[in-house]
Amino acid sequence: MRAKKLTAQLSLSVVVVTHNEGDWLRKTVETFLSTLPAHGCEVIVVDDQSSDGSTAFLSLPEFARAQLIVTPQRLGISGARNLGGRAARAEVIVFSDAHVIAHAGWAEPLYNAAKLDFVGEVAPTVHSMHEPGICGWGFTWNAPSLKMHWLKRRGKGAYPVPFLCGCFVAMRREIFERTGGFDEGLIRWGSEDAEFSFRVWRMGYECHVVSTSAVSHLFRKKFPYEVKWEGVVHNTLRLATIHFGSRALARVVDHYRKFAAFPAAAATLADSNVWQRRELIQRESRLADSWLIDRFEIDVLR
Amino acid sequence: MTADAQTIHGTPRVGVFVLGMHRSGTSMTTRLLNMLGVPLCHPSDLLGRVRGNEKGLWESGTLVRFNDALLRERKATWWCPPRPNNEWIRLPLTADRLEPARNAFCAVHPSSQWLWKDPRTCLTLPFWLRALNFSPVMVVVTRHPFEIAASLRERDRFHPALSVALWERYMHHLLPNLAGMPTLLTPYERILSDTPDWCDTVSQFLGAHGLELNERTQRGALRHFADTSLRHHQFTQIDIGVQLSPQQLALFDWLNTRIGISSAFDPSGCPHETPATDRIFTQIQHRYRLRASTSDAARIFATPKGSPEINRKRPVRPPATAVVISRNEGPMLRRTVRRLFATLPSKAEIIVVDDASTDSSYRPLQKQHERIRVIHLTRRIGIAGARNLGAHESRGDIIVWSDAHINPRQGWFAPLATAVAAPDVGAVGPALSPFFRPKVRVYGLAFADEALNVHWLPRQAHTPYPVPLLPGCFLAMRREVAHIVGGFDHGMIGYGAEDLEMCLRLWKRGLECLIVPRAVVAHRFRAHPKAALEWELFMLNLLRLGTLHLGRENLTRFLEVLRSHDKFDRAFARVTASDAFLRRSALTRESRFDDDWFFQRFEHNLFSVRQHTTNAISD
Repeated sequence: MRAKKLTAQLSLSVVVVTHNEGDWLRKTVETFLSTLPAHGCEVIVVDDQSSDGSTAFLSLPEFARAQLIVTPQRLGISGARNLGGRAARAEVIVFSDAHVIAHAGWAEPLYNAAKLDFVGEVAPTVHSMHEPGICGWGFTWNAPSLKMHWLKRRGKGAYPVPFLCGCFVAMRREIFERTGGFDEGLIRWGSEDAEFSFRVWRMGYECHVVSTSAVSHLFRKKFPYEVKWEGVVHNTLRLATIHFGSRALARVVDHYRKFAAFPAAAATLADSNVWQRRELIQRESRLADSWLIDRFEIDVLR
Repeated sequence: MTADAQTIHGTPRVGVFVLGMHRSGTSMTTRLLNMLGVPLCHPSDLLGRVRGNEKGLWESGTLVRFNDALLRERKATWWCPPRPNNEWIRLPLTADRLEPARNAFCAVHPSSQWLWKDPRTCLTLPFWLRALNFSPVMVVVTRHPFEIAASLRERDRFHPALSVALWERYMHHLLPNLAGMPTLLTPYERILSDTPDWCDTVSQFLGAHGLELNERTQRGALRHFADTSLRHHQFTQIDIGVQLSPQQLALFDWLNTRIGISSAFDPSGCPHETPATDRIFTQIQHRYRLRASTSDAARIFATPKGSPEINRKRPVRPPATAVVISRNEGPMLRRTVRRLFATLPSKAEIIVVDDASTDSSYRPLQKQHERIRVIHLTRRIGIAGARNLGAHESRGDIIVWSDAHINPRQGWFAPLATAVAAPDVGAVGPALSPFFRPKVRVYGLAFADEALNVHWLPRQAHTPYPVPLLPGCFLAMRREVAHIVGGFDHGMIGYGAEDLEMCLRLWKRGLECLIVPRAVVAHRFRAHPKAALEWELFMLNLLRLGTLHLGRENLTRFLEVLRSHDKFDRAFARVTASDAFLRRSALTRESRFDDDWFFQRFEHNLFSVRQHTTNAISD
């Protein structure tokens, strides 16, 4: 009875960011259009300068419900998501990759979890598209490289985890507006999801994985577009600079200094606004940088 | 005794009034004119830095009190000016004030040329013109009333409507009284946008009216002084929440027609005051019960003749201050101070900054001589901090920073002082020789490799000449330069490199570092500390040096060489977590030249080999 009542009020904006995703974009948009009610829900596709013509299908009449936004120049994942998020009108915003199949009934549990006051960000169980039985419920770090380490299932329903994979996350629009969305100082790809979750935790909200909601995500061997290692190193260093104390930061630097891309990434960092960002986050945060590390016993940074 | 406002020791007095509404940039203008060579009031009378004017007010304290007293006699204050008419000037009470005012003015301006700024003078100008019975040259600064309103809102929490009314009334006081005066009227933005060009214009103007200016003033220093940090409010159209009345708009437009030099200012056609302005000030007068107060004024005007408020007991400024920094130097400290004392000119002072020593080596110096001051710190602040503290406490025109294990040779001071006095010179250093090998001498430093290691240089000439870097163990600067560049970098909390950073900063600002071969100082060289903790601190300063000063590509190369060193990770993390990146962008803004210019200037080919390594990844 309760679920039915909430379903009637479902108010979701799904933001799908794409860059040269080919046929996957169409499949992704189709799953949202088929699983979401027409009333109260919208699908926004943000095309971050695709060159493969993969967004052409959106002009077909059956896709009239999906809205297309084209970025003025290449924004990278954070900028494109924020652009879509700002256009969203519903109460809860879902940020999805463009190679995702949502399972039937994914929306209500996720929506209900996101609506809780103390919850900042939620994500469903993420299945691997072509490897049945392989799933992840949020992630943590177990190496100073800050590489994503998927977590096993830890509970029933919705429960807190350190970080949520950016391939599919949802949040109330109020949270999106308060945080200002994803950090646009992160170049192209990488670390934007962990950075956002970290920020949400520090602002005093929780990040929950909703095990009753599920999507399948395509884990690819290769990017369909170029991702520079230098940018990835920069993003990791930026995340660490913004959120870590100098001891944890030194661990990360110690790991990355071995790589050939490190000096250039560090120089890029020096010319960026990372320091102002760090100050801003320190001011706005309710919890200290080490709090999350202690809360989830991320030993590698302690 | 009646002071003579027209001549001093037979030389005719010439002077400049800097006028304009509060928050219009009059302080900045005054300092610029001062840097061009027009002397301000006696330094002991100068008002210091305040909130909102971090670079100084440049006002005479005595004359501000005079102006305030004059206003109080008319039931007014600077924030509630009287109606703009000149009837008060003919009152007998006012006439009594003329002579004390003239005496006070001459006492605080002891030189034949002078420069006086006080925005209140806009309201009291006819009084001062009468008191001084001759015509000064007028430099008037104007600014958009909205910017003034924004600035006053921030500093004094004034309502914008009040600020705009104040601006209008100040202008209506000032403009009619400028009639016939040689005047330069400049908008604030014009000074900021092209400071050197503006300085040329004003030099010409003042020169034509008999002022002698210092032609060698460094343009870099001028430009730096007027840098963007002084632009309290950069916008011209902000949401101030008030509108300009038609009269105020007309006044602003009219002011724009008078921009530039006029040998005799013509106030004709100036629009009338908005009626609402008068209502605002009448209301304020009632609300705050402003009454004519003559007792206050009487006290100020009755101060003994000559110099009303100048404390004559304050000693004259010493020609130089030696700042000796010490930490557990033992008997060397006393020897160093004794040798410095013997070789400095007789009026120079010595400040010993003891950085939390535990060996009480500073104690015997504490009561040795009145010109030796000892500052003992209970908590360690590091080399850069100690040097800056000493400089802050110094009063000499030249600051000589010295380590506590040196032995200067007789006759070092005069050649150093001569070399450092040139306006383009930032810092000077002597030839150094090891303590017990007087024949061996080194003459400044240069970078040796892309890790910013340094090596000593041999002598290149007999007269002072530029070198890339000067060691911090014995370094002299003009106090004004030290003030402008902001002293040693406070973030250099570790060991070493703070002197290199200072020299690089000076060069990038267009200020030279010179070696003076005739000055010789013996220095006890010590091996670099090897202990692990000290190494991290050494690394910290080195990384900070590179981070502050190298451009993106050179920084990349620098990090590439250093990253495999021990403790790099910790030092880099500490640099990253400090304000280094912020300081980096600030330095880029305020520098005239970049690091590549510096390396080319001295034909350093450290960074000629560049590698770019970028790999694509897959997950």
